[in-house]
Amino acid sequence: MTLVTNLGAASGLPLATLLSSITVSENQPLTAMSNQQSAYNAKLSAYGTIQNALSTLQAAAAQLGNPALFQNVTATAGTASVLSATATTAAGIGNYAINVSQLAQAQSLATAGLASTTAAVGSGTVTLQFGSISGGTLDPASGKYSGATFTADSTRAAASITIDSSNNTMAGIRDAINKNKALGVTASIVNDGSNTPNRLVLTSTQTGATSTMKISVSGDAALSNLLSNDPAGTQNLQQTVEGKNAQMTVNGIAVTSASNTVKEAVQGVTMTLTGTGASSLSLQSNTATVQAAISNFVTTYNSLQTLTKQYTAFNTAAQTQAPLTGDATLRNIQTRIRDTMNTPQPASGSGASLTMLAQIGVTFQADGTMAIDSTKLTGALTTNLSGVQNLFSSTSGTTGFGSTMSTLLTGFTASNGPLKSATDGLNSSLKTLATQMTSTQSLISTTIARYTKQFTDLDTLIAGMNQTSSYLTQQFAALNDTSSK
Amino acid sequence: MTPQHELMECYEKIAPLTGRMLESARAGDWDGLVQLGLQFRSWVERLKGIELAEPLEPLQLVRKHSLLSRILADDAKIRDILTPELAQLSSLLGNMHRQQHLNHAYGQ
Repeated sequence: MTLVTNLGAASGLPLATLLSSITVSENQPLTAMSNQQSAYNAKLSAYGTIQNALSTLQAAAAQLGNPALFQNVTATAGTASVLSATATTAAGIGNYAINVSQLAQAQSLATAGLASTTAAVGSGTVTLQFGSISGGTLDPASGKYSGATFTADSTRAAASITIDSSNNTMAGIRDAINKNKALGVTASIVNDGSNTPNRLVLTSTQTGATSTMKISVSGDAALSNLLSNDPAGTQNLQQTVEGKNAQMTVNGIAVTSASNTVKEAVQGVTMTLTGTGASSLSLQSNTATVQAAISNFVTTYNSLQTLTKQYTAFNTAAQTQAPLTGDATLRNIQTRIRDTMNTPQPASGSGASLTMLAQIGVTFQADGTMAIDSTKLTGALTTNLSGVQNLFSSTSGTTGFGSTMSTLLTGFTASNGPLKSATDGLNSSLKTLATQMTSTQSLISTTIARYTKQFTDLDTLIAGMNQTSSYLTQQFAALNDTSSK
Repeated sequence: MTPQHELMECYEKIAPLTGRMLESARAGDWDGLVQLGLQFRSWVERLKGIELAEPLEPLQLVRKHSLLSRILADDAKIRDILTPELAQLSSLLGNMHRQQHLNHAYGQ
């Protein structure tokens, strides 16, 4: 459609007034609806950000509400060359005197020397059983026992390997042993420099006195002569390292361990023995993790405050609102958080009772943010950790700022919480608004179509009148000429 | 009927038509105006087709002069009303289109 636009301007005509009123009455609501739509969307987005900030704060609160946080223990050994230690939350606080008199070691046996590692030895089945040796005497020079008794370790089943033409050399036997992890030993060949230098060395993969080998061979005499070894009978191998348990005392109490990794000799503590000698073992509360958790909570809380302030600000100079200015849902959430933080926790424990955050140096500032007096906090953590634990957590999870805040915040962000119902309301309003806008839009379109038709009709009329008028004017002029003659 | 009579008949029909058109224009009855405008055009077309064998009688000439004067005066008055109305309509329609485009762009 071509609109005639150069016809000149006039005003105050009925049609103009009519169209004006249409523009005002129909387009203005549409603009208002569009503005309303933008405001709803801004609110939705703001609620989303607030929801995230609340979830982050909930996680920080939940950490503080977990009693285990306060039971973190750091284990420190006095003499690093004797032992190192790690502690779990099960460990108690205290100091221990440790004296390691003997480290655990794994038994090692060496065969007699053979001239070649690749010459066939013999075939048969080699069976290995672990156990312990008691009684008798050990000749340190030959590494052999006399008059001893071997008691098999009933918890460890005997394991066998088969030596045949495919692996009947010393190197083949070594590889067969190493390939079979179930044997529980590792094998290597050591060259001792003699005429028959190659000796097969078998070492138990486990330390301790009960990991002593008894080796039985059924098969060729040559294989049996090389490998069979009964501590209570014929010993063809030389014991080069005796299987021993670790021996130590913990505060004077004798402790034996098959391994150098000693677990639970002190509750919740794993000691790794590295040498003999005396050392202290100190178990202290790890207040640094608690301090970090409190600091994290305060930082997260302050982030939420900053966001809230930003979303509820009213710019008095520009007279503009933030998306959640005056929002009841957000105000209610803020109030309840603040109330929870200001509700004293029940006193308990033997130490000086802590019931308020201010007592450990965590306070609210005039601007609504929180601040930490680190000297006061460190003092409270050092002198009254159980009081601080009680202030934040409880085994029941119903008291303590961490627990109560976590519960409160979880409720806010839950699928039936206030944020969800507020956003549901907004989404529903947006849907209604979209329907209204569509119908208003179509009403305006209809009106425009009606007036466009009218315009086209009038435009056509004018064009027709131009033609008739020019003809009639000619007739009139001719008439005047005639009558003047 | 002679061509002279037919001619005069046309002018007699046209003059009241333009009078009614002016009334419609003044009343803002645009649909009525458009309908009358179509009749007006068809009468003028008919007028153009009439061949006069004889000139008009002196009385007829006087009547024709009087009718044509009324017709042309009405025509001018109708035009005076229509022209600015069309301009207004055009400009307002243009505004509405622009507004609608804006609403489409920002609203939905």
